[in-house]
Amino acid sequence: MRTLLFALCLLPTAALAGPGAWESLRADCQSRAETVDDLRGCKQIVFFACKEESGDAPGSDGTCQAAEALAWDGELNQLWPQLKAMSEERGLSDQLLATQKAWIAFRDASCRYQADWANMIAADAVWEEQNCLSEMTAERVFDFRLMLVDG
Amino acid sequence: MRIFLFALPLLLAAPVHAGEADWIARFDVCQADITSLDEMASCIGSYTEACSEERIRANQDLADGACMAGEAALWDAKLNRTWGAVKERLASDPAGMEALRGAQKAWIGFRDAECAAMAAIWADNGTGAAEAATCQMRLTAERVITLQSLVEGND
Repeated sequence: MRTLLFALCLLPTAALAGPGAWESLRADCQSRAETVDDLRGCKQIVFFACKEESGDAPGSDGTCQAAEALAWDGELNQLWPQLKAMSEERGLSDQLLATQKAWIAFRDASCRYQADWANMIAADAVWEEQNCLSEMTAERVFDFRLMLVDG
Repeated sequence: MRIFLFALPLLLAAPVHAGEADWIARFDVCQADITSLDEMASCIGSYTEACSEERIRANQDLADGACMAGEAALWDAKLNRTWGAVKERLASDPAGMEALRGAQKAWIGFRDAECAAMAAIWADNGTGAAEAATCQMRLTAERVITLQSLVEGND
């Protein structure tokens, strides 16, 4: 019985390989989260799922970290219209737009610095830049979620 | 007379109201106790907690954000010290320093815009000032941690 249950668990993963499967792992983790700390535990799920599937192929650190960053960016884009609607209702849309633009400038400048620094020390600049984007975008997603719940 | 007026609140209130020196001490003790940079985030709110407890005991409102603003100032002073260390660390890398200066300017723009937005979002509840000060405290503390990790980086 135990073996059967274990095998059943494996089935969906095998059937749903690729970015879609990594994304459902991330979404499952987030749906179970009750606190921001729980949400933080959902970081890098896409990265590790992707790495596993790639069999740790050369260059997969960078491409898998880019997949992780893309997943958070996708969620940020999903949340944006909700936040925009909420702020429009309250006459705060200019303010929201201003702060989001400022955040994008900050994110880009920070991650560019991170990539430059990695280049200088001959580290994996793609991974460093994408990891910076993942981290910052994930935190912004959590900020958005809090604003939507409390604001 | 002036001395008397100055001494009176101290004498009367000292046992219950330890005052700002005590709140700063809580912040400093927390900073001294941490063994790794990861733990620094646990010091966010240390001053604010002590300050808020005391103000609540004295039936004072926290909505003016004075406790959070007081702690934000401590993190800001720490940020300035950390920035000094960053400059030393990158002394031999002027291009890197220039890029980081650009990132720091962008961070200041973000912090100001974000905390102004917080003030506006919470204005209706009457907690705009407290939310803006909390935003200043939290973002500044997080920036200290990020910059400190550059100083301590093993590159």
